[in-house]
Amino acid sequence: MGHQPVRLCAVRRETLTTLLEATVVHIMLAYSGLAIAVAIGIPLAVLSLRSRTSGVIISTITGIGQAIPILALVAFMVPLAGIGFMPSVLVIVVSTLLPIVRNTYAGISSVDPELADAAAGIGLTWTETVTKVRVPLSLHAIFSGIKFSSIIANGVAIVTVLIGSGGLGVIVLRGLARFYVPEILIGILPAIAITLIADYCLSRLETRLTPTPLREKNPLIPHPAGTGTPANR
Amino acid sequence: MDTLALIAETWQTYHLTLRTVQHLEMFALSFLITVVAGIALGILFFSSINIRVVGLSTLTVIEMIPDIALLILLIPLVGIGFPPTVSAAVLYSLLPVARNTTAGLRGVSPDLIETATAVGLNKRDTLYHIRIPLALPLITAGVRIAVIFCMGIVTLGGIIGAGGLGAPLQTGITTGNDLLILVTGCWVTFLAVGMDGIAWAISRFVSVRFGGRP
Amino acid sequence: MGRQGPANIRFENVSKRYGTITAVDHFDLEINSGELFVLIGPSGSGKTNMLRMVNRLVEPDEGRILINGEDITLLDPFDLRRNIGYVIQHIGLFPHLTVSGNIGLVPTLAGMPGGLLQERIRHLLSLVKLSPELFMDRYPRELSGGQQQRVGLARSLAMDPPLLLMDEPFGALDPLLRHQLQQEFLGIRKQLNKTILFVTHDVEEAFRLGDRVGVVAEGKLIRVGTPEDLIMNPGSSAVASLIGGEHKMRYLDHLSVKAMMIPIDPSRILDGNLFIDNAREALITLRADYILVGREGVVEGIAYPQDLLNSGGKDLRLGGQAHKLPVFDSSTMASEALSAMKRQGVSIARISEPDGTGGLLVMDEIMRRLL
Repeated sequence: MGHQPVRLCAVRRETLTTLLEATVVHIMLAYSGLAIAVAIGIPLAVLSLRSRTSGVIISTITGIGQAIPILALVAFMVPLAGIGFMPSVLVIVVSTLLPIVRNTYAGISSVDPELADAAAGIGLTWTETVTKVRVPLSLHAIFSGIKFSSIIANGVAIVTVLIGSGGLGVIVLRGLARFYVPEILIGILPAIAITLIADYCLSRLETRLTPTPLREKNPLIPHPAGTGTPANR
Repeated sequence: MDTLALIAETWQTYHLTLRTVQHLEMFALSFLITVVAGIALGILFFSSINIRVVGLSTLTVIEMIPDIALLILLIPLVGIGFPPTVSAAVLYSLLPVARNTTAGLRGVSPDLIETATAVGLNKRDTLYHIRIPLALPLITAGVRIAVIFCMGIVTLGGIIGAGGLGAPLQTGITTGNDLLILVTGCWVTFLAVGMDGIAWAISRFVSVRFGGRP
Repeated sequence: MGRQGPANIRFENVSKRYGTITAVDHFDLEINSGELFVLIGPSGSGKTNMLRMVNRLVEPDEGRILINGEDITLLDPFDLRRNIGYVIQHIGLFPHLTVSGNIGLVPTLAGMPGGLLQERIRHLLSLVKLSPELFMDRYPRELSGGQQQRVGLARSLAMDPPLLLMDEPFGALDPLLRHQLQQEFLGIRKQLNKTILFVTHDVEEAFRLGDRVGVVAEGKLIRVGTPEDLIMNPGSSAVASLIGGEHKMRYLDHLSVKAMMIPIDPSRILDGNLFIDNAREALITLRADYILVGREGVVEGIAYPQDLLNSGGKDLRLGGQAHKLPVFDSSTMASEALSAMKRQGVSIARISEPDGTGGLLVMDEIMRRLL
């Protein structure tokens, strides 16, 4: 027991330098993956609006895809893409893509048909109705998807330590291996903090982007996941 | 034939039958607790607005952290292996079930509730015979989400010593055993998607039977 | 509440306010056992509130309501409601229960045994003209509006309540269907042997169905009476305008001959055995345009001057020259009597009352009375 304080300090110093590095890697991992997913996902959702069949296909694929356990996805990278940072980003893209596509699609497809009609009526092209009418009106649904994916991204970024991504997972894993609780916490708490901060930032961003008349009075009321999506928040 | 033999061998060597049993045991336990507790909480939240606000806020906070984080946070509290895995699965999956149950109960048309009262049903009868049946579509939607969460967290449990199919997955990664990864990966994916499929089918059935969607 | 037979309801000085608005204003009314009482008034007049106070969906601010002499606030509300049938405009069938599930819900909860309940459900479905085999296992969404409302009615009768409350039950149906259901309802009404309080804004419906009708405006009950009373004597311009008053002709269907008849002047009745010459003299003396022929105060026929002048022989009696008058009971509907008279080609008929008095129904007079 007497050794404890010395070990603590030693670990602390060592971990602190690694901690900063790890945090940076974690953020890069999670949010480059998320950014790519947003860049692919939203257009993909828009495209699936084009026809009923593509809508059904996208819906089915995202539904099935979200049921696949994250650890399995991470593991699949090894034979398929190898190990390291990039394969880890790939996993994050794949796992965050699905909620974004699903929520965006749910949002843009449920815009009041009369509004879409009116838009077409005043001469907007199909693309314009989407970008100028549907997307702005579905901002909340889209951001719900992004926020949910942000949480997933942070989670996956920890798990990808197994395939050599680096990041906070390294510290967590080390703590688990030694069964040293403080180290575990030093690894995981920053990840949690980042998730919460990101959520807050995304909410602020959403409010900024939403035209004033459409802003909800109380965005903290939880919404039921009535569409069967895990991501309708 | 060669491949099949290899697969069989991998299966045997890494005790995948045992792992499957462990995996399904953990899943079944956490899922059952989640459904029972989730619906009970949903009914509780429905009957009292104060408890609802506090309860839903607490559960929402839990949902705001990644599931792996919750899993790991529970380790100092309940140890490693089975306990944190099942606890994390339950805690994480409670929100969709409870929130959907409450929303479903509250969402029943007030006209129908008034008719029920007018016809002579008291609060308890109205709850059991009118509100709950009509809330079932939303409740099953929430339960379907719980299936996905539970499966995912139980799989992750393999990393922290809970056994289940997550363990051979991790082994496969660390030893670079592609075959093990593919066999276990496909198998656990099959199980997870299969469970989700069953949940989806039940959800569709309930929607039609109780939700009136022809 | 007991199973003694149809209930009687009494409203004593009942008032209900919502904020500054008085929805029901010192409402007093007694509804007799077995009666079909219709409350009629424009939207917002308070009639629905009055109805809903009977099954305590709304509680009065002042006054009390008594059913069979018992103050309803002293009764258990759920027990009360189980013994009152409630039929509403938007029907309110539970979408997740079959037709038999909907009808049987309350009886099951009240402990009715399964076999008995099945019998009862079949009986009720037949009563509302829905084939039990076809409809028992259907869901509400599979039924048309009319069929749903029939099930709604059957449901309200499940516990054989002594009282039925009906709030514009046929209002959501198209006019043809509405008429048909009203007719059917009248048809089964006698079998039901219940007191019915019915609310509507449709004057036709009120007159067609009601034994008595109460006119409600701005929360007050301004007139109560039989359809006939209201048509002939609106009593106020408010009631008259509601009914569409001046043109009573519209309501011929609802008026009995009693409202139209003129009394008989006994001095005008001459015995049929009178000789023609004497009759002719009497005609001149009386300066009458016609003589009523009959005996002991009962009129059997009518004779005009031309009937008496045209005859020849001195032996002819009055009775032989008089035209026999068709006779109608005083409760006959005016429209029916008029059609019969037209078919027979007569313009006058005798109306008899059970107590022997009566009067004459004269076509011209009817026109005068109606316009």
